[in-house]
Amino acid sequence: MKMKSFNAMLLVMVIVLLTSACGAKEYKPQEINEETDKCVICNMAVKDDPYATQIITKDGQSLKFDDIGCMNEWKVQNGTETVGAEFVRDHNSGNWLKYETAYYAYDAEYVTPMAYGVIAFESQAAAQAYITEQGKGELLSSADLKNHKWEVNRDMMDMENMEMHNESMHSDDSKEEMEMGHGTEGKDS
Amino acid sequence: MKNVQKWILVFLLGVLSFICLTPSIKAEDRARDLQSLINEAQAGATIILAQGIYEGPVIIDKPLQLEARSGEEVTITNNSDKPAIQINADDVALTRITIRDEQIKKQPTVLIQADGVLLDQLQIHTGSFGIKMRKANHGEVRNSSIVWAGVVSNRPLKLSDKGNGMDLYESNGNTFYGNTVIAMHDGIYMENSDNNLVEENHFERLRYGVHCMYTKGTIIRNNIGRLNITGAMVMAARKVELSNNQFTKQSENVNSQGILLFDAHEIMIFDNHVEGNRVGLYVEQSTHNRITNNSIVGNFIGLQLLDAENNTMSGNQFIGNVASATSRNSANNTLDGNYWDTFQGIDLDGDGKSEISYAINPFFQSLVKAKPGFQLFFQSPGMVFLEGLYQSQREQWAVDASPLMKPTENVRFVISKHTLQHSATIGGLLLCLSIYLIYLGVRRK
Repeated sequence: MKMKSFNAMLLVMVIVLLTSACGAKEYKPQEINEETDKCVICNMAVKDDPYATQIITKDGQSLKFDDIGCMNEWKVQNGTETVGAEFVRDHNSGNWLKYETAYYAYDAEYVTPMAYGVIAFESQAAAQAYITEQGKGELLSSADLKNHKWEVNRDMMDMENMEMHNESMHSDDSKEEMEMGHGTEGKDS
Repeated sequence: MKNVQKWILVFLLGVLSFICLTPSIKAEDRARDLQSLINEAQAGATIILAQGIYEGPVIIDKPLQLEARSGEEVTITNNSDKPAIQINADDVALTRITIRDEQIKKQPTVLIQADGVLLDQLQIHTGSFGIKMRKANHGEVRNSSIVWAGVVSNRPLKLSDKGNGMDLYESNGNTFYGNTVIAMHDGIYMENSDNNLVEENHFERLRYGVHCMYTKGTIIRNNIGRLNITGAMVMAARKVELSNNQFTKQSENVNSQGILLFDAHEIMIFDNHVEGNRVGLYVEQSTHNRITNNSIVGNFIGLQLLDAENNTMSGNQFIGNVASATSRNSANNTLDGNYWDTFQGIDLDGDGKSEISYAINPFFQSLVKAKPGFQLFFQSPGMVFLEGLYQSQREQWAVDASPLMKPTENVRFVISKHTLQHSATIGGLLLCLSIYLIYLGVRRK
């Protein structure tokens, strides 16, 4: 009798465990391994620093990126249907955060691995503090990032450079070519 | 007796004073504050530094030349978290100086924020960035060495602890000649920096030897890269010349390659020697590049083309690679007159070129993109067989229209054959031993 009830309890426990595991599928970010991880989009080695980001797909694959901009590029190319969860890292602590709940600071001149200039923070206050400290930038939520243009800073730098250093090195021809090049760049990828 | 004691006393005193006095003279030398020397000097002056050790950090804010006499050792040490040497004035020159700045920190060892600065024969030991250039134009770094010297005590060293050997941002028209960079993050990193010349440098055990990001007009010529993750990483770049470089043994990392082009356009790559790497030449999302007369020798994959279009390749030699070439989604490239040693052609008209074309099968790359784990089956017999069966959409493959029948004569191998000889000797010995054992076993029966 005792044995039976024990068995029954065990069965219930197993069922509960199984169902809970199935129902609330939780996606967890993987650690960055500097030896083997490379950005799915740009091929650069992913460093174990706060710029790294990650997508866990619904079938459990981990896709790592060296810059939030590259993660965005992946979503543009592949859509978000297969995405289970997206993670970014807090710029101060390096802790993994959900993409949706993080706050972001953006400025074209912030230095990030692929120069998209978007940096993630755990709290709104921390993001604001960073912007104040740098003396430039704007605060964005993940919702704002949907409408973000994701320009890399060279596009803007180009304009400045052209005006500042145009003297001898660049003819007007090359200027036009460069601009054309940049125009097609976004569409290609 | 007393006399003798007296003499001994005098002698001891003499020795003592000698011991005490000489360091005090040296200490005086050492105490000579480099910053006040600089402050006292007139703009445009040349300061010849006496042999010895000087304490940093130092800020140079007027045109000056600091140099050591040849053969004399002048060392600047720095234990602060500021740059050991910060150059804020145009036309500063530093010659024959050793800088020891081994603490791990964010600020670089040498920070240049001015034009026309010359660094010549410096030896930099750094725990940070070697030389950082910010809006520094028309400068030159030559015959210098930059070596990683930082130590992390409580955990293993991470790649992200290290800084770049030379790090440029918005710095144009600089020359880097004859330098050696070892065990840093990237050898030379150029971002938003145009028309820089990187010539005859040596890059070893780095992440990337030369790394271009958002640059144009860079010339990378006659450099040597060994044992880096990637020899030359050319990303988001235009009009770069990459010529006569030698990249060998970029194979220790799973993502290694000799030369990688990503989002690179109108690049000229010629006369390079790429040997013993994981991937010799990796071209992704890059267009309108001219890749000519390179030797791609003894790599696991010679050429990897991914989403690459409108590139021209001719006169390249692919020899002794495990797989000569792989490709995916790369139509409209003009491949012509390259030599592929795994390809057997037929030359009917005797012009040295095959009448049968060489097509690069996209099967393996497409498979690996869908399921990365299948990399395990790289060149396994089953995979090669399946690849042979796969023929669909052949018109969209990358194809060499008329491959060369023979390699041109100037192919060379640079990786030494010593290791091969060693393993041959050991193998031979083992063979003898096993024959002897078998012989013994048979006799005992």
